[in-house]
Amino acid sequence: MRSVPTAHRPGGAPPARTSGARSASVDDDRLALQRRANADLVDQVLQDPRAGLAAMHDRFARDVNRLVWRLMGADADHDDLVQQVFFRILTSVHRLRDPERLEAWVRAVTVNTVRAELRRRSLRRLLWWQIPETNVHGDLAREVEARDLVYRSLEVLEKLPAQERIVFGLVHLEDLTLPEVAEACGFSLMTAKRRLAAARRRIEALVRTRPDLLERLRAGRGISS
Amino acid sequence: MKDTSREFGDALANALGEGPGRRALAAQRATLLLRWSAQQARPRRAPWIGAGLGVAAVCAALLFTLWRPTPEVAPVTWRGAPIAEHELLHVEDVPGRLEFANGSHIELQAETSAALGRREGRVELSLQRGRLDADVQREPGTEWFVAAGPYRVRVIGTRFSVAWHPDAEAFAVEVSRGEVRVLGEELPAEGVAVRAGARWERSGPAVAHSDAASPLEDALVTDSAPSEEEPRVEEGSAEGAAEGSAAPVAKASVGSPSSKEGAPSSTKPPAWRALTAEGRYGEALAAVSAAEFDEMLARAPAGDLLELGNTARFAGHPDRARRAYTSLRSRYPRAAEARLAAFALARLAADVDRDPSRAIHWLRVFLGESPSGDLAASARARLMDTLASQGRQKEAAEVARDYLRHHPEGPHAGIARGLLGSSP
Repeated sequence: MRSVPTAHRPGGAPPARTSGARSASVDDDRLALQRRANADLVDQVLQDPRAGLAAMHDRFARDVNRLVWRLMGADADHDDLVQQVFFRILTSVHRLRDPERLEAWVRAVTVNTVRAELRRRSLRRLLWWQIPETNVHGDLAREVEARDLVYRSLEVLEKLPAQERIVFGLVHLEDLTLPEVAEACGFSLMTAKRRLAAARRRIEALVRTRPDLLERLRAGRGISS
Repeated sequence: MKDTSREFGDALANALGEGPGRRALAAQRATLLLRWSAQQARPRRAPWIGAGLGVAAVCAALLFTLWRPTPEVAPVTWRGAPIAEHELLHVEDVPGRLEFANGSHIELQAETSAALGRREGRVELSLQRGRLDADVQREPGTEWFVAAGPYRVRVIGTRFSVAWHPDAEAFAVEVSRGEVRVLGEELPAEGVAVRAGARWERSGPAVAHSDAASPLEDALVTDSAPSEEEPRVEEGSAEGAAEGSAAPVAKASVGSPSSKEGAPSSTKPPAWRALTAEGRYGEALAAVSAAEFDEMLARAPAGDLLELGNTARFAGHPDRARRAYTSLRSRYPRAAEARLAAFALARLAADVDRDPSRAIHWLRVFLGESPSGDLAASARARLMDTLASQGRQKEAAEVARDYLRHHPEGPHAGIARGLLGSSP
């Protein structure tokens, strides 16, 4: 379900060395193929943006959608945000120096788009003195309990500053490691740690004031299959 | 055991799922390409036009911010949506906010019921129980009041909180900015001034309120504000007590407007309530013996029964919760708490008993009694969903129509429309 690159986990088991030169060679081949595919994709975007956009979507739609979905909480504007991500990819891919890092770069673009949207909304709240209603995308599970849990959880998340909300989402909803989070957000590992700790503190305090939500979390109810 | 934030993250990730499905992604791809093509086909503006438009937009925003016209009290919104006059506002757990066009706002905290009354030059909130935090902007020509039990708080442009627990007859007002004046029958005619940094509280013996909700029920059909145009602050507060459930019974002398220590000693709430307030539901329920529980079912006021039911529910004792809610509904059928008990019974039927028929029954009861309250949207969504899951499409479509009529912008509006689109 979630992308868990266990080989990158700090403290995880080191890669097996006993399989010898053959497995190392297979890995190298795979990496080389991946690099080639990424470079071809970037070239395609630069040569023919429309075809490149289609290819980018084919390759990254699932990852970008899942990331936006979880960071924004099945937002009603989900499709518009995903579109923004792909347009940004298209207009700035020429700056990507190392095609090997295309996946990480796409993730960083997605995170930046979400962050900008969260900031825009908080500014709008400030300027217009209104709290926009929490609206969710029509594709969110039809099961009422799951939706209610999402609404209540979003009310908690919306009280977090954008940076903390994103760090929390990347770690706890997307299972990224802190170094991966730091890279996606463009700040240091220490900052990532600090923001995660702050987000956790806030969430603990906010959830404590909502016994009904806490009850559901503890009972594991209200979760869609 | 996992920490709360981790549990929160795991549960939310599960509830959210992976995002739109394959078909939705295919549609998204097609739209993306179409928009890209449309964008490319559009003639490009000269860069200076964009810059000029940007500067103009910033100037317009600044002008709007600086030259905002004199604000009016009306309109008022509750959780972002307009509300009807004297509509019962009830917050079960997630705080809700009343917002006024002049920038004032009042936040109702968990387990709080209130109703808002407005007439020209006067805004009055009737707090039935619970706690509110207010930030009221001073405005010439408009008087603001909060009525709670036998007391009435006259607001003079300030930030403050008011708490009222009718069961313990406990009233408290705390001011963090500005000043308020507390009026009450046993207080001096001019009331008691409470200034920034001060707290004034009063507890008395339990009020014999056989119908705890009746003052608010009355407020729903009559104007809670007194008939005079001017608040008669100097003439005492007999009118201020009109919102109270009974004649004030506090026998203590006028409380000091300073600290807790200065206030008369209060009747301590029972141990289970203190534990419930701390979120220790299991311990709270264990603190009530079987005999005491039965005694409470027979004698406790409506608010206590609701709290007892909620405590049992949160502690994972649905049978005891059901008994408390059922007793509440039979003993206080007209109380606001009884309506909430109907909703809680629906949740127990759906979540614990997995009995959709009973859940549907209780949701219909709740909506019949509280068609426009705080939880009505959620109740309609549940009812719509439960009926659809039972294959009762026609009834589900009926509820979907009802949902869209009452909550056209509600979070389940898309699903309601989808249901209507797919219904025969």
